[in-house]
Amino acid sequence: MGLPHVTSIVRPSSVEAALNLLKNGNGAARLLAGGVDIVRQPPSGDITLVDVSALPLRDIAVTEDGQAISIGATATLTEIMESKLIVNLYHGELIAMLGRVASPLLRNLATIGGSIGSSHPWSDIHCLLLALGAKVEVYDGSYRTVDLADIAPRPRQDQLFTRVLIPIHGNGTAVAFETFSLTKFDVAMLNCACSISIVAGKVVAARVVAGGTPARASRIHAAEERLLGTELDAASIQHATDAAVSDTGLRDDVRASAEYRRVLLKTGIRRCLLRARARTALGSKPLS
Amino acid sequence: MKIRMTVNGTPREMDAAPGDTLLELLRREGLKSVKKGCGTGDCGACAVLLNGRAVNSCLVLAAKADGASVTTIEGISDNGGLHPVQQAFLDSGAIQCGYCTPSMVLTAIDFLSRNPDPTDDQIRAAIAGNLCRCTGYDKQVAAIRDAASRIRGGTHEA
Repeated sequence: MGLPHVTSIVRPSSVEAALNLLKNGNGAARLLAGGVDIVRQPPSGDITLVDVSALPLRDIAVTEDGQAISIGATATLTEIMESKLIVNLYHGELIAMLGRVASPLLRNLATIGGSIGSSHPWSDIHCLLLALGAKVEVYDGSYRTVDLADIAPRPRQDQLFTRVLIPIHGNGTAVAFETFSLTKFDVAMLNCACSISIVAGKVVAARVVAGGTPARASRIHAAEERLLGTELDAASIQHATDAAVSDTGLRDDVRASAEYRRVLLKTGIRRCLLRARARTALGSKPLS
Repeated sequence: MKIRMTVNGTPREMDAAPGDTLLELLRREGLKSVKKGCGTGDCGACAVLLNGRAVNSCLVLAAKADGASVTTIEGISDNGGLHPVQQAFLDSGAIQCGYCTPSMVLTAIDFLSRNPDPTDDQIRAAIAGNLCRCTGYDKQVAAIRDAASRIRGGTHEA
């Protein structure tokens, strides 16, 4: 029971102090925020936990330039879901996705920073945030902003996340997300998301993402290319869906076969594109 | 290490090892309503209110609860009587073996404090992390619906 290898827990008073503790731990220090993963996947050797949950890293606010929503790394998933800034963002798609993640009990503990840091391949959060073009502010001696796609799949000892930045796109951009699991409480067999920007009736930017393939979520550039410049009509949606299926390395694992994942991906991408389309100005036109 | 927290309204100081979970600490302190099920946050039997929010106490290190307010089922009585959620569970027959009941009641109290007039779907989503192997959930959903009505109709705050 418990974590017998946890030898001490320290509470740094600043982000800078937290990083020093992490770096000086010679690999035997780990960050503690929500604590969910560290208890579920206990360390096998002696470690010191660096508890950052009391640091002022849980604010949710619009950035000064008004271009993004900033979510502090230690904000819990519940706190994000209850934020008035998030509720209507992207037609509520972010809230709906978070509502599918784990259980309310776990969402009261799990943090956005921990969710990104643990980088589970089935992560619904990682999938949708990639489609949204989210960035992560990291502190590694100085603060810098990194594309979520460039965040290493394993926690590093030389940096910590301080906030997540979700761009606020205009009305011409719509997103949609789909996840497939055996039960609502189970992790995804596959998830996918898209973000589509329309200007003058044409797709000018597109992000198509699939995760739990069973690899970690990543963009499907071949599908995105099939959408650019189109009117998001039936043919372009079909081409993008076909490209997504053929360009994603779907594999078997304990949750689903590659063959089943192909069906899920095809269905999921099509649903995402249709829903995103309906949320843009194109939605008033019949699908040709 | 010393852990100071308010448990069921009473300030307490307790000894804990750095790796102890809140579940272990509370049970060691005699609060046996906090059940160990899976120990990995999947079953919800260990749920307590940590600063008013229902959490899996098996996933919370005791040290993280230092300075916090913790409520278990022992601490929710309403002036010596049952809490409306407890009474609704009793009246609805929402208890069989009882192992999940304390956690289910606490989760419902947290939920109803933020959603006083929920739909059945919202209730089911709210208890998605509390597994019950006896009842099939229908009676718990009915109980929480009934509790919501009692709380809305009365003066009790969930």
